[in-house]
Amino acid sequence: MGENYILEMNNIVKRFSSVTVLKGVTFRVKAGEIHALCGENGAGKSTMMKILSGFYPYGEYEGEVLIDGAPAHFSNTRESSAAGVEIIYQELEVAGNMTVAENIFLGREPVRRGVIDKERMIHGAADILRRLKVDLDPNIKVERLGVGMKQMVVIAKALLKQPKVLILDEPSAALSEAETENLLSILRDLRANGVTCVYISHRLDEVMEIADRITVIRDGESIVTDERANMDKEKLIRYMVGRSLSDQFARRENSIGDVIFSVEGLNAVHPRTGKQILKDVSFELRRGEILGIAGLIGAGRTETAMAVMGVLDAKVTGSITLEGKPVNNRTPREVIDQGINIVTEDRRVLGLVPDEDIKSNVILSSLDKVSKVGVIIQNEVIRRTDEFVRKLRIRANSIDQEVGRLSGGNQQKVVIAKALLTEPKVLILDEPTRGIDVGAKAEIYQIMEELAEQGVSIIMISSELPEVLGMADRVVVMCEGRVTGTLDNRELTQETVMRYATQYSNSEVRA
Amino acid sequence: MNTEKKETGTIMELIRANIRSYIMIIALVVLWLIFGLLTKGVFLRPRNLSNLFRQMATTGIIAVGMTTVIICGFMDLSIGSVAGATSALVAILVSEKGAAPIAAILAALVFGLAIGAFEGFWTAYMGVPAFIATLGGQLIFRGATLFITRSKSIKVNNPDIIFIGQGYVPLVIGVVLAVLAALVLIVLEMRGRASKEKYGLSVPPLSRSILKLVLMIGLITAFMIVMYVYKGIPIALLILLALAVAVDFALTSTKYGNSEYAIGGNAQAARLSGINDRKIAFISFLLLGVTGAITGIVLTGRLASGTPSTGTGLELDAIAACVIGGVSLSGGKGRVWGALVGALVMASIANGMSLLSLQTYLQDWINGMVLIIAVFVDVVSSKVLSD
Repeated sequence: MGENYILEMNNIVKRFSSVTVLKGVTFRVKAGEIHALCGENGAGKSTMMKILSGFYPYGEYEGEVLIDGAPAHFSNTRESSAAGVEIIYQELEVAGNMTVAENIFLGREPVRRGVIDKERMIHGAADILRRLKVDLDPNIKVERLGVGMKQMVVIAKALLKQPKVLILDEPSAALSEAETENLLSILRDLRANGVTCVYISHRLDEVMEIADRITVIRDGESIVTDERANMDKEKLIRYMVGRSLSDQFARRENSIGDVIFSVEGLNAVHPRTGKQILKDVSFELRRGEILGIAGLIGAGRTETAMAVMGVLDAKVTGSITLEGKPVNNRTPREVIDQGINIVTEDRRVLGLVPDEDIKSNVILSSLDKVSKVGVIIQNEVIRRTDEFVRKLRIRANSIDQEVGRLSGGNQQKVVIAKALLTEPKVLILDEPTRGIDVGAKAEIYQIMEELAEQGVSIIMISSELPEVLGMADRVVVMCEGRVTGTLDNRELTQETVMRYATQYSNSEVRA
Repeated sequence: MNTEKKETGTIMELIRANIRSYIMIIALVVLWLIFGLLTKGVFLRPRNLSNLFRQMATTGIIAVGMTTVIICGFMDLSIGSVAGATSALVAILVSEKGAAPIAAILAALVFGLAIGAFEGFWTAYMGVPAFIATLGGQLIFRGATLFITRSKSIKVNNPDIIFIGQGYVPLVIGVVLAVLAALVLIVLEMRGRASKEKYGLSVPPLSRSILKLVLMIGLITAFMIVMYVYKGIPIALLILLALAVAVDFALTSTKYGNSEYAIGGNAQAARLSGINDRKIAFISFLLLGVTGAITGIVLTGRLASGTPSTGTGLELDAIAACVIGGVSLSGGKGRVWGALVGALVMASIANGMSLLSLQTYLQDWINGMVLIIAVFVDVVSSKVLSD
């Protein structure tokens, strides 16, 4: 008692028909602190945020929410915003066709006699961006910005409302290391200016770096709230998963074979702007090898993968060879049939059909395998899907469940199952663990190890250096569309990789 | 304990997946009861029901094709004009060029296929938005209709063509078809069970299979009785049913259908998964073109003529039928049977209101509101279910 809490959620219980998602969660944030909220996917973090935002209106849950000591009964998001709660979601809500200033002032445009006062708006935007120490022209269209800058726009927009509490939901999920550093330093500045922040993240390093206090929830219950000083990463993981994950990366002793796949002198030029997207990219992949591709956002890693699949919107030259034969990549179908497949970075946009069930998604790339004269054999579909559900430990009510309703980790496993059903020799995994919880991550790593042992060659594109260093046999580092280093993963450190990753853009590194 | 949980989960999923069909069928039954009461039973007499089914057949045939196009994420505004042009073509060939009916029908089908290819080319391959490409098609083929008919009504006396539009299936053939349908249902159910066993999957209890078969065969019997108390199954309705069975099979059980739903659900992901999205969309336009041609032939027979205005507005009726029947305009969702129930709802309202001698403007108002409310119910129910 007597503590100065700006936000309190006391004994919150939330049920969906028969399932209780929150079982009496308590979460208290002190004024002026950065409070990290950690928990695996499905632990109940998003549900808590939806209660705070008024998305689940007052009356649909039990327990109390207090803002500045006063009970809050939000029935929609407008009311929570008026009460000083601003939430910045992972999917940045920006209107790409509008300018930075227009986005920041969206819905709150300064008006003079019924007409928008553009001058004041641009000044106001420039002002707030300066406070954030972000060098950004308010007149530029948001669609031209990268993810990191878009996020700054959203933060500026939220700050304009002078919130009591600023909540960031997985803010660093799509950011490169440098961009994340930048974000963290901005949050520190905000704290110095008295803004209270709630920081929700999977990335425990960041949490340990920035938080004053940490609350961990698991299975809809609050497990612990403590000062950061009393925590460490191991402890955090233990609280989150309820067990120790001392060895996240399954270490394997496998034999790596001959070169099976190679890319040589890959160049790609944007068809309209003429910008060179890829410059002379070359690398080799051996049988049973896990090759990491590291680099900052925009380094050309995803573009390389898309060029291999034949779907990069650019003029591509260079040679791609599989088992000594040039790869025909006019359409994804032909690439897949030759034994190369991809698990894309953005599974909701490029990987899944969210409204369709698990089995329809799993067979999507292998319709020939489960059909006879064009007719799908349902039981064959069920058999194959069941097999993958078991092998990859996909957790779902049934294989008839819509994939859009699964957790991120299980969705990712469905995409992997889809790729594996095509029996690829080379599997490209683009950010395979993005936005999925610690437990599922470890499972994905294990799946990768098993595949490599079976002789599948894996290209793993990742922005999380610890996982690249934990998993890869060799690491290709890219920067600005070029390969800047091909490194053997022996005694390799994050610092070395970062040095190669920022070879052409030292200005971006602020850490 | 654990398996129990899983069981209820699956049943919930099942209800979730089918709740829309239940709502639609309940709505249809309620609608029929209301009209039955208001018309003192006239609405529910076999004679009227037979009429009703004949009326819904033309919209229904196009709605079957429209379903495939909408599931891909497209739509087609030209198909009413296509039916009109086909009708005019059949009329002119039979009445003025002295062509054999079968030749005229074949010509009509080829014509429909060609138009489907035309629309598919512009939308699927050239990337013209379907709304525009098919709006253009609507004008072009309405113009073609005027050109073929020289803006006059062309009378058709050929008994074969008229039979397609107005005739009925003789009792003997009808019974044979019904028995065949029942046998096919039984065989399919048994083979399904056997195959499940072969794959080592859990087989549902025999009682459930028997109950399902008894229900379906009961429905067929009831349908036969109602139809044959009057004159029998209208030929147009038989065409519709055959088409619906074939297309529903294609959509639910073939590579083509699976690809359709995937494209409608997420075209980018489907393409990257190796599906030729353009080809699949093109095929669905071909199919729609053919259904437009079939409707044109049926209309020629029913009206015993080809007229400049035949088929006007049919495309919107078909789209409305699809939407009422739960085929999502954003693509990837819906079944042929839903669209047929939608067509039946619309035909029932039109039929009931004209029995009640409601003014045309009132009928339009009510039709419009039904469309809006049907979609509203869909929006609300899917929102409730997703929570």
